[in-house]
Amino acid sequence: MSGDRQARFEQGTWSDEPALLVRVRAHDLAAFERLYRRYHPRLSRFVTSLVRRHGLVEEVVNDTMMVLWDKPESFGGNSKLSTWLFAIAYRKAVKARMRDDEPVADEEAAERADDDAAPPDRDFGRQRTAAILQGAIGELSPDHRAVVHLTYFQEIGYREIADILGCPVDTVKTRMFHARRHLRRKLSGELADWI
Amino acid sequence: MSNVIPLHGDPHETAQRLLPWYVTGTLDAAEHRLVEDHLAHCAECAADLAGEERLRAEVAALPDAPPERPAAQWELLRERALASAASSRRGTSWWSALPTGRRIALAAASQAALVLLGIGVYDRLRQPAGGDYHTLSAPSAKGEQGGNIIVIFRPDSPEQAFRATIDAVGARLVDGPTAAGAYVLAVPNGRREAALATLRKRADIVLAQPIDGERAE
Ligand SMILES: [Zn+2]
Repeated sequence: MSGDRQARFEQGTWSDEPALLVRVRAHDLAAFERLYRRYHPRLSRFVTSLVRRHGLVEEVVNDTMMVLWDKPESFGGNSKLSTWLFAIAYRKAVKARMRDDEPVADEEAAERADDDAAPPDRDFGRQRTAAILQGAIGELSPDHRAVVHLTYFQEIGYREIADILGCPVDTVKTRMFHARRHLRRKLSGELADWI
Repeated sequence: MSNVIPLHGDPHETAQRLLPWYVTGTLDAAEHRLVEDHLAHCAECAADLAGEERLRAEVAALPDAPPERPAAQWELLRERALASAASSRRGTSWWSALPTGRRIALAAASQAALVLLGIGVYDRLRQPAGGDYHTLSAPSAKGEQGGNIIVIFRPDSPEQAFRATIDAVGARLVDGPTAAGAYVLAVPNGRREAALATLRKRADIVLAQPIDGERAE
């Protein structure tokens, strides 16, 4: 969106966000759409790492955005908007998971790893690594997966991750430590230079 | 957020646990230095760093399942938002307490508020009348400071009450109110966190946020 390109993004804060939030408080749909389009890709990717099933991902993301629309006053501004949204999405994803009870997601990832084990084209190595990594991530618990995703993909610091997941910072560090060990062990069989 | 970093314990173990965030550049300055110093003389951690960078790159490059019909998803949410707004108007929110005509006027005025806040105020704050460009976080030559906090008061709070609130935190009113009740305040940068903390505790305030993109400590 051209409007977003004009908005300045500085040290994790969009310069136009306070103004957009003011408008959302007045139930301005255009401002809400702007925030939705800005956060939807990041939120869906995060939620996908937790629940996988597509219909459920959209449901969780939309429920999350509806909190902003229905109760904008519950965002007090003492964290970044992204942290606040991620935290809501996390809690909703955990609930949705319990409701949905789907161990299927993890099996799917493992199956994908097997299916893609020998792609016949020249990106053989790359795709194989990606497939193995995908499978290894699928073997992690959702909480470990969330930390890996927020750290590597969203590039969020561990303190903010602790805020999002509602857990102590040491728990974040410990989960990450174990998750990395698992992933690197899985990949080390694949590539000689992994160690 | 705590500024105190527990530096006790084995520096090797500390570095090992911080490596992922060292790689993504999200550690604070003290922690970053700690890991860097340790990496300089620990072969094991230095080797782990290479593996860590590789792992991060591989995870970040994993293909994403494309969302199903994103436009349709927004349409869905839009309908929900409209329905919810309509039903909340029958409820007891400050918005719904207003007569319909006033609500329409307010919605229109909030568009104007964006112009004021989004363009007017920001540009003015970034480029003060004095002329020379500086960012908000930089102190100006005259020691005069631009707005660095945005607050929204409850619509029913009396004017003396919010004057008192502004005085209580040593803030200066820079701009406002907009239709949605937002004000831009200026406080000395060193006192901003304390001012924000105080403002958020006041019953007559619904939102208090820093506005120059400077990260809150
Ligand atoms: Zn070491």
